[in-house]
Amino acid sequence: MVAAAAVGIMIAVFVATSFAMAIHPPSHVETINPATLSVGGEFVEKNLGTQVNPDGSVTVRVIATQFQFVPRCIAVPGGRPVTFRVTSPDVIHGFIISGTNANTMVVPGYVAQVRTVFNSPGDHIMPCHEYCGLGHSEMWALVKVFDSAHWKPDAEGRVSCEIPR
Amino acid sequence: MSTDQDTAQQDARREDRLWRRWVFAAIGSFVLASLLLGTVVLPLRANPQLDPWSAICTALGISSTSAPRGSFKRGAVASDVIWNATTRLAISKGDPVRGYAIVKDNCSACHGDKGISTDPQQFPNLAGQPEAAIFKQLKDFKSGSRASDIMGPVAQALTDQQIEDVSAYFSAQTPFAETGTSVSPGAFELVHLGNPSIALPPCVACHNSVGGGPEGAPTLTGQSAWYLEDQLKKFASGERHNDKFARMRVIAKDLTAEQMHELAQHYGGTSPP
Amino acid sequence: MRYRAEKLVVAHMVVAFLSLGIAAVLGAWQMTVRSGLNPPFASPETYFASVTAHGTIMAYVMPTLFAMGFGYFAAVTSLARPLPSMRLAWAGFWLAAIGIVVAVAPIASGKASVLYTFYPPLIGHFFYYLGVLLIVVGSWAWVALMIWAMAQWKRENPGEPVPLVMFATVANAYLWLWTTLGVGVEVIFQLIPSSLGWTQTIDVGLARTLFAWTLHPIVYFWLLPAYIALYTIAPRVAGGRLYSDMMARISFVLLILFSLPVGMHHLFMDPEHGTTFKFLQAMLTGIVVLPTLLTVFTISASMEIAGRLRGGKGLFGWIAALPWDRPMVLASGLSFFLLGFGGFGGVVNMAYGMNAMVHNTSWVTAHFHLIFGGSVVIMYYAIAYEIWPVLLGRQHFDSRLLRAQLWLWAVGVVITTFPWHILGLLGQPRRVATFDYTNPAIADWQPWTIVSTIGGFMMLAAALLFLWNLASLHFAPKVQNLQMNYAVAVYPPRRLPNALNGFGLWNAVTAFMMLVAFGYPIAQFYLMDVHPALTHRVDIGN
Repeated sequence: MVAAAAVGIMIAVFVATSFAMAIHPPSHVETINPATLSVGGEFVEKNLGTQVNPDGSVTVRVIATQFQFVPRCIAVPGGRPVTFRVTSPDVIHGFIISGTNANTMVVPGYVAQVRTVFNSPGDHIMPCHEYCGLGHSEMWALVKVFDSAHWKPDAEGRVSCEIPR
Repeated sequence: MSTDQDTAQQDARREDRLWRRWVFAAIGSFVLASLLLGTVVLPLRANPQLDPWSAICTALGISSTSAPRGSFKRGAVASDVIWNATTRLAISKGDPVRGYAIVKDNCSACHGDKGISTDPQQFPNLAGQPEAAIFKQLKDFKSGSRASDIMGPVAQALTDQQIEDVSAYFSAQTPFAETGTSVSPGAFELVHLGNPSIALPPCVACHNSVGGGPEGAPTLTGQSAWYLEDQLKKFASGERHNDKFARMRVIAKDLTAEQMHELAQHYGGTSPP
Repeated sequence: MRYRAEKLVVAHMVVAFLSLGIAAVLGAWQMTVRSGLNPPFASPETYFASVTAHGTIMAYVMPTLFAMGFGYFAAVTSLARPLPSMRLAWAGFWLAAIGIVVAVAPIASGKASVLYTFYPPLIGHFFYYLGVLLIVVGSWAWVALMIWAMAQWKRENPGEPVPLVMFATVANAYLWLWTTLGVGVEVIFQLIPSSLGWTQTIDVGLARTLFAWTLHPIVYFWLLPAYIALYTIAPRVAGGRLYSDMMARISFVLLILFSLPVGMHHLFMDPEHGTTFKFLQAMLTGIVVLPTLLTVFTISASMEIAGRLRGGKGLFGWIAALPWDRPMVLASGLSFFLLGFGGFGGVVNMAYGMNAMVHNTSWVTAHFHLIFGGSVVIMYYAIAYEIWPVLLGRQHFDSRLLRAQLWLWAVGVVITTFPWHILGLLGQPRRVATFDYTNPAIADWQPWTIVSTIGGFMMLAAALLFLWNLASLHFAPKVQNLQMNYAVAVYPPRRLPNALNGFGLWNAVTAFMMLVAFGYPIAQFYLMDVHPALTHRVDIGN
């Protein structure tokens, strides 16, 4: 009886929060051809990175490849929703933006989409957290959160940054 | 007695039926409730901007919504080469015999009859390189993704089939045996351990005969040290830019001139002045 | 022990425990690498080959061989009859043994660094997959024998309740059969053709889903022998009775039913599945907590009976009155203590909102080392200590050394895994060989990692002490006619419904649940426009 009640409570909490807070895991099932990513389409090199769209929303496009995230430094604004769209031309990768709940697998053949809000300015490391080969340990990106005073998109709505050396 | 046995059997069958019914009812209703929640209720709640049918389809993963389209910034791509099954199979069908017929008239003056360079200060060794590596560079020379006054016209004169054959020929040759003699600890560490503090992977992560690294990564062991150092400098300055997603450009920018020199010596043997 | 199965069981156990020892050495070395302490031989090639070996042994070799050996032992001793076919049993053992050798060779040469979770499109050497396949096929011989033995016994004892230990062992056998389907299909139809170069691309989403099919129930396959000991051995050793035979059977049934259709909780963060089935499988994962809670209750009640029989008074006085000097009792207590923490971590993983904070961080590694190392393997040790005298026909152990080993292991598990949980919350990623601890952003990880490493060496010491303890019994005096006795229930069942004496109904329910839970998620790969990825051959480079 007690056991059933305990499990019942646990499940009820899970369901209630899923409903009330609309929590759901990143499950954006969108297929894409991994072989042609670099030659055409949304994920060509010049189109990667942070883009402020005409409607004000912010999209960050990242390629996860052996053994770098492209771009390695990702500039994002604080206090606004940011949508990450990430895919891989080669093997499985994954990332977590440390200190946030932005966490996803990056599977070749699919676009992973994660939406999050960064509450305060600062730097977050973004390591690759899924084994992708011998260089996995060194595959990290840096996410720099800018407050509105320092957020300066260029004419095309792009923002970039450099990893400090 | 048979009637006792019959009754017992009937009881047992009734009991089994009861079990079946209750178990399927309990589990079935839980599963149904979960599916209803997961297919309809929660997706509708999470996607108020969608109509019910789209919300359900999104939850099932059938149609992808909100995929931003619109104009994409293009610009030149690093390389036209596409790594897919077709390319890989085509490369594997390259014929070394046909390849040699081309090599002896077009390539051996600089790269040697057996892929060992006639002048390592100017031309790289090709012997024993992976087929995919030679294929990619020839294709990039041909398309202009990799600029070279010498190699451009050479590659443009070759058909894709010929490129595959030439790649097969050089790949089958014995690589240059004399490798780096310097044992600079810095270079050794970069090669085998990388530099985690600047997110620099070890060279062997990609340039290795085992490990499952990127397609088309060339072998560095036994390559001309002059050539290696020169290419690293060209990647760092951006003069060479046929690496997909700029990986080598990013890596080369992170290397100091001294590190480039040490790495070249480590791999290549004979050292440039 | 009668029926000449001693050699068979000992063979399985020896292979299982020796491989555990080797894997423990690798594990301790790996932790040293990660702590920035620069041990010898450290490089990405060696590290990831070691991780592959450690995982393959601890996930596929050790628990499988142990479950097989323990299952044969349980069958022979509880049914009081020989196995239906010793030839088949030995064939299964040798197939598995050959598989181990075949799989380890490419790992050792760095040609199969794909980790025990395989990670397509990374493709290792063909022999690696062949080896794992041989181990699985060898274990299917065990499955067949368990089912056959129970069927034979029921034919000769119509209407009689199958002894609980055999019922639970056959439950585990069916569970294993269902479990291996997923990875079996992935290995045979996807990975092996890729490793032979017959296909150049692989459908990664499908491969991950098939692997996820296996990935959760396999941990219950590991868990069930521990639960079997808790239900059928621990109460007797404590001097009590099993509180409820019927609840035990229900728990084992629930464990099969709800450990299988939940593998997708390993894919919560994957983009190739929609939320519907992630939600369904999350709900089902919640239910699988139930049989564990039932087990905790039933075993605690059984122990309470033992404690009170020994004079324990008051609300909790029975706990102190238990014979903690007996290794099986000590291990059960330690296992329960660690199960609480491990189970809590599992519940966090199941709630996908919280899962997003910890997926693929060290939290995950901490969770499964705690629950598997802490709650399960400690019971494996206790089971070995119980049955080794019967197998060898010798007594006695120095029970102080046995208890010391169990304590050392349990404390080692705590010191290893508790800091790891913290590191996971701090964001430390998994499967990373080297960290730059001079980076201020992650500098605070190093102290925890070092503490964890100390725990790892304690676990290694405990594993080696375990091997020593078993070996030492070989020098103990011979004793005749040692029997294995199992716990008796407070109300031993006289007649059971078929549902609790057989598995026809449960296999049907399982088939239904797997169809509902995995049917569409697998079928979708054939309905969608998928783009398979190019294979990356780890053994030949590119």
